[in-house]
Amino acid sequence: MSCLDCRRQLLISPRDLSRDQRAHIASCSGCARLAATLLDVDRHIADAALVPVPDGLAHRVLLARPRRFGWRHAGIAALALAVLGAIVMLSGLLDPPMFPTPVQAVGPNHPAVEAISLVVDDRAELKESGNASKMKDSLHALGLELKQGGGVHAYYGGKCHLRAGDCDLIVLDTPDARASVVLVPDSPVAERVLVTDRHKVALVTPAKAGSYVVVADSPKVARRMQRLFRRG
Amino acid sequence: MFSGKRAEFEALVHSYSAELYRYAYYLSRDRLTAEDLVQETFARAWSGWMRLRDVKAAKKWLYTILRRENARLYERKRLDIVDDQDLDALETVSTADFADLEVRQALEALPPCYREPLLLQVVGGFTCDEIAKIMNLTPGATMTRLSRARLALRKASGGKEASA
Repeated sequence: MSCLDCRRQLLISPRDLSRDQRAHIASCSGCARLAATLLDVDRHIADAALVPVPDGLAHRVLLARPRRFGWRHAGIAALALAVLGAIVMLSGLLDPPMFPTPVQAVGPNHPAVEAISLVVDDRAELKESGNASKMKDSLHALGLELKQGGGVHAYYGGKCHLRAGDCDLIVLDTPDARASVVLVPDSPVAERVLVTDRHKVALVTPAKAGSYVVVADSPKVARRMQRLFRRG
Repeated sequence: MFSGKRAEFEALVHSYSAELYRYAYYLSRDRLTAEDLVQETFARAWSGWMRLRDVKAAKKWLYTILRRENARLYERKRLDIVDDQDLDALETVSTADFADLEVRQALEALPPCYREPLLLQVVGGFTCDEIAKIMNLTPGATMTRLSRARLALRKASGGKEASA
């Protein structure tokens, strides 16, 4: 082995010497000096690298380990929820949230406010009450159908009158809730509106011809009852 | 099984946290950053701990994670130029020259690309092949960097001597 090769190897790793290197160093004072120097350098490096380690580092590492929910994970979770929400909404399983509008915002002549008054004050005429075919005709006139089953009992409550014109009242009964529905053939609306007044809520929903108002005790019941209708 | 893996991991933290902190300190040259790096390294290691097949490879794995985290979170562009090695100049420097050398400063002054393999070898005890894998280098490039790191330290020492 030449001095050049030996020194090259020493510079790479002065601790791991091959048999040839050892033999060369034993016979070459220059390379032996270099080997000793480089080993000393390594020792100094190792000493210098012993910077003080903060007390309790391992303990802190172990304490911090379970919180692995970083921003990246939060971002992924939020994205997954958003995608899931979009899928559910598109599939019609969940409507976008609605917040009740106070009566002051829509005015006293709004069909929702009128429908609440009609139901609370019990102003419906009982003429033709219970007439199933009349109920079907009224629904048909608005382009609506009532879904069957699910323990829902619907009966025709009779004719009633709002500012928009003559309307029909339907009462929906389920084992745990009740709602009144006012079919308003001459009052089209652009979008659904949820109005609260006199401890009742009224959900106004556009239909093919006109609109219908579900009056219930809570927004949840109103939404649930409104979903019983579909476009015919 | 889970508790066994957890105990192994806790033993790993106790064994290597100090060593990794020192390595992190020389990568970042900042104590707070070094501790953050160690925390992040073990956090990442824990998330992949169940998938680690060979526990004996854990040390190399931890160093690799730490390097990657440092690059991802903290590393900034640095000047990495040193002169080529000059083997003839070596004989003129003796062991005594290094006795008074502030090795830590010299080490910190080394370009990261040379400091890292040297620390991995001297402090971490890794072989050239292992360093090459940790740093994603060829073995040849690793050897070159190790040689140049030692030469740069020698030159720094020589410069101080001359100016003194």
